Amino acid sequence: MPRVRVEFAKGDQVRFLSHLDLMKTFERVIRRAEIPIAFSEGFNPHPKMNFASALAVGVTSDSEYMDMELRENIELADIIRRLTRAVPPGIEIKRGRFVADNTPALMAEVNRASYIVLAETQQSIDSETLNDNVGRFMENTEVLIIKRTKKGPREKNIRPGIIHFDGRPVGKDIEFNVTTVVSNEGNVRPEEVIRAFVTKSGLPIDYETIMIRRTRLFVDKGSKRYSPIDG
Amino acid sequence: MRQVIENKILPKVIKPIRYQGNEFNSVHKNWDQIPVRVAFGFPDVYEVGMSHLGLRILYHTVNKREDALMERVFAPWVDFEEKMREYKVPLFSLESYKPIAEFDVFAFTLQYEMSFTNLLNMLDLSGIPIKSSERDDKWPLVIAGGPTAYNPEPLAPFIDAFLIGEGEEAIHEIIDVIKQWKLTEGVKSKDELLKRLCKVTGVYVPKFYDVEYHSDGIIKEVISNVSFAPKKVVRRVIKDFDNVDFPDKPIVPYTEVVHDRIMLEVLRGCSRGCRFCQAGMIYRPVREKSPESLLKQAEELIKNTGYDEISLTSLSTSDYSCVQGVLESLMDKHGSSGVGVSLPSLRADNFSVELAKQVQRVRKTSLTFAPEAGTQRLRDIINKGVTEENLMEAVTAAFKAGWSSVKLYFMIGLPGETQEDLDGIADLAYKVVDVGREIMGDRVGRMKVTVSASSFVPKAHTPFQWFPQDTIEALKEKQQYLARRLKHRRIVFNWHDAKLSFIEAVFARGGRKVADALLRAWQLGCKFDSWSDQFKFDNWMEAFADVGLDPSFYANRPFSIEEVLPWDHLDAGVTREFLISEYSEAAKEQTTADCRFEKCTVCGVCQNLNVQTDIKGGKLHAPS
Repeated sequence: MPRVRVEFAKGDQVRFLSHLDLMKTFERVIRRAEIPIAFSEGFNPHPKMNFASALAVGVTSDSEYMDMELRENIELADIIRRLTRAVPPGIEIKRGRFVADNTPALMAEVNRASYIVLAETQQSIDSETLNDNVGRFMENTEVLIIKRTKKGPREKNIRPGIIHFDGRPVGKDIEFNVTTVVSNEGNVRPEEVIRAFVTKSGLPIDYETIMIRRTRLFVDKGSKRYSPIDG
Repeated sequence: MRQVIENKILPKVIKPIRYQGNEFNSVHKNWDQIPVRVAFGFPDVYEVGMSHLGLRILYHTVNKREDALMERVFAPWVDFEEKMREYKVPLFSLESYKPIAEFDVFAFTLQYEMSFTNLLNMLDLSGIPIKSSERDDKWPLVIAGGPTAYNPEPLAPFIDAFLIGEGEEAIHEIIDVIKQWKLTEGVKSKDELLKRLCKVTGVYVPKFYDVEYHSDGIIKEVISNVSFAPKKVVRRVIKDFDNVDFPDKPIVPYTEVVHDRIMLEVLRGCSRGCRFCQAGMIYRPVREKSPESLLKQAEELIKNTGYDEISLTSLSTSDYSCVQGVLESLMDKHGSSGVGVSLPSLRADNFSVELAKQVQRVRKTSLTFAPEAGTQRLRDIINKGVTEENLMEAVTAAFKAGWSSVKLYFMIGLPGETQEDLDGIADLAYKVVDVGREIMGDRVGRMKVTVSASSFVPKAHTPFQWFPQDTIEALKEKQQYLARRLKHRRIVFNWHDAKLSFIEAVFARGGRKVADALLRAWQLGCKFDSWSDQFKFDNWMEAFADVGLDPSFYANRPFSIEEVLPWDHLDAGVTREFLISEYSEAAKEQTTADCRFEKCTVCGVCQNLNVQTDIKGGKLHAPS
């Protein structure tokens, strides 16, 4: 069965959708667009679609990915056009491509995410102070945070999952660039990084009302980095 | 304001999506170019309000007009309210994020009594004075409608005008009046507007009526204090239901709401005549939609929403004369694309194996029957035509068709109830379990029989409006008795909080005086009363004490047939004579047949409101 990969953006108007809400929304978008999606067998048939990575409530994204399995052939341009007509305001269909049957699932392939995080400060911080603190933060081999899990609070070392971290003052705000690991084992969320950084550095940054934008999801295989839409 | 909400408040509350708006098919109009702006207030959270079909219908009906807009607002959850008060953000609409106080009209729907405190809270959060008498001409007109408006008196001091009855046509007339009034040159007084609104059939303006009392607190009379207010306000009813406006592009919520599916209304009204049931009286007569209209609407709705489930809604969908054919056509047409159909309200006396098979074709939905009472004697008293045989046949069909769980709804505290009737509930539940065990065999481990017992609340405009509610203690005793009797691995027993039902009864039968207690309760922090974790019974009792009212006067006192009832100046179409006759028939344990199957019962609706029962499948046969 043909499999199509679609790149889309989650904008400000749909910022507060949870991952579950987003999946439901796409199920309905696909039905409105009359895309001939394949269904799973069984008593409660589900449309066969998969996402690269869950996006938290409140987070926007420039590039998200979704795979759909189709029950019949349909032209790519037609798929894009139909989806574009059927999406709610705030979701933008960017491009797509057909992928081979043996292509790994998005979830298994994508392992990095980059973010821009905007945080407000109680008093302005100059770039030198900021850089010093970021440098010292990244020198740690261990950054422990407390994660609330179903089995109670658990300690977790997020440092191995932080690939890149820097920041610069923009007016009264700080703009951070964060790249983290996304995978089943070492998932690190940008808000965890900012919170740990603010706690460790003691800088007067408000980590509760940060604005997070995911700018990129990609595959890092050591020797090469690529976007799942380019292959 | 939008920035503060989105950046400061929403990241810190649970389910921020409740306040985000921007859903697919939501209507955003150019505010400055629309003369009449209406905010539709649903006094509960988003997920509850968005499941309400009436909101969907009126939103569509009003927004179709070029000269009016309707935007939505729901009761903010307690965490959001706290932030709103902290940041001094007034209540705002989801579409334009405009403060509610900037609208011309704030229109509430009243679906249940226990949302009244939320209504007051929403006015307060909007910065709008709560009492009608304290709002001068600059404030929005505050109106309300819906089934609970059939006893509007507990809200009389807070609402400028009520609409009694169905809204699809009346809302146009109301907007026309407001537009004319707004566009009139010169000083615009709200009194003038209310005077003009009195001419619209179904509109009730409480300030134009005075209530006089006897020394014992019983009403002496309710009389209009102006010449232009009708002596009796007659309810609105849609005559040509098949052709009335129905939303073809309903909003598709992003987050899961209570009824997260297409709601396709197949018929309105019910003439089964259950004597406790308010909906069965106030939505008469039965008017069906034609299969052609339904199939066309279903197709549009699937295309425009992308939902994978259609619910055929009504007070009693298995009573729809064309249900079998419509179900088959829907499944043939849409089943292959994964669209399922659900039937939310079934009667045990006409649920067939055929019907079960159709619904089964895509996915299993839950199956609920409502015998309401445990013995035939009590079912005759309440005029619920269903027999034990009917129920057993229905559950047999259900288990055979593959369902593993069924729900049974009962009511306790009904007039005439005895110990035998409680035992009857338990006996029925066990008989259903036995049937299930026999049919399911090895799979019996998956079987579940859910028994729900709500408490009888006497409602206005019903034959049982004169009957008292059991005391809280009596209801609790009955609940505990049933809980003991229904202890079984395959049975789940649920019941309603008797204290909540008691407060509900006070407002279902209370007059204007209980408004003081409502206001006081809200001041003492009562809101979201229908949410068990928010309900504050002690504060309610304190409120009644503070204003010097005895709540049991309204909930637990038998009303005399002779006394003037708080809603007697509202004409629901059903005559007083009919209600009294049904009340006496109940005492005689006599049933009254449905006028769809036998002769006209002369309830008065068709005669008084000049409307007719409209059955699309021709004359029905009486159930066996």
